[in-house]
Amino acid sequence: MIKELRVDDRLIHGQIALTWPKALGVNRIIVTNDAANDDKTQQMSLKMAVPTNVKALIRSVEDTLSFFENPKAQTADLMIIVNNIVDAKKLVDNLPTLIERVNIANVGRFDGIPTDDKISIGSSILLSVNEKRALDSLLEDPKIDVVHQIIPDNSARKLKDLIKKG
Amino acid sequence: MRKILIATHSTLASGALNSATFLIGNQSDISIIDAYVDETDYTQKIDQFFEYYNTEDEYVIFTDLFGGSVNQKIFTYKNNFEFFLITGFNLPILLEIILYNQSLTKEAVKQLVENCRKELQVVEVDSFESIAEDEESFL
Repeated sequence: MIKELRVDDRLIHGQIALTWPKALGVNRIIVTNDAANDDKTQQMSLKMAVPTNVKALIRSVEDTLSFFENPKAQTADLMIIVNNIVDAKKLVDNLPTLIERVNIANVGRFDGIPTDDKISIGSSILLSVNEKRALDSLLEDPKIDVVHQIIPDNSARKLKDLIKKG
Repeated sequence: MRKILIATHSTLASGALNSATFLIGNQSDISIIDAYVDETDYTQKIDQFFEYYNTEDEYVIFTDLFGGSVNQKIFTYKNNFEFFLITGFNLPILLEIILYNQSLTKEAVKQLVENCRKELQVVEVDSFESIAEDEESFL
């Protein structure tokens, strides 16, 4: 089961490594990112962030989907991290029954698109046009639980409620 | 209950607490002393930390420099109180102590310190083992 599909523009980092595996009860993290899949140095820096008792896999979106064709993968408890909502949407569309919840934690702060062209939700979610479109279609499906929770110590807030607040 | 005090020369203590809170939230009872930032006597804050000393609680104090005056001062409280004193602390050991979810023994604290000592390192490209993790070993 994918205990959590997290959208975080920093992928694996200190906050995640220290708290989330314990909070979710998982010892496996898949980083699904096409750029990281092709960049050895970025892979090393991501591995640096992984605690010793946690296993990590770095895969493209496509390879992540093929990975879940394995029945063993479907039953394993794990967490997936992507760095944008468009990728999250692709995973949700293809693995709808495996994902327990989507956590939109940090988005769009380092993608090079000017802030003026974005919609902000709180201080850590900045949505470009593409990201907003992906989020809207994610929220259309009532079966998918979409929340915002940066660290386990924060309470999980429904994305829908945050958008209403503006 | 675990009670933690971070005491340093100037604002490292409040900075370390800010970083820890950013990373893992407010999880423990943590006090700080930014010593010598003004004329006030910081040692009063050590007394405050121990004011309601309870032998059922665990007390851990972090200081910045082994030979520094802050560490020297706090060391003298060993005459009257039981507590773990960790000096030359880094952020990893602070986080480990906050997150440690069993009762702290002397052995446990020493082991955590040994583990976190290794976090101080020169990072080089070739200091990594094979990074190609396959799906079999992942599952």
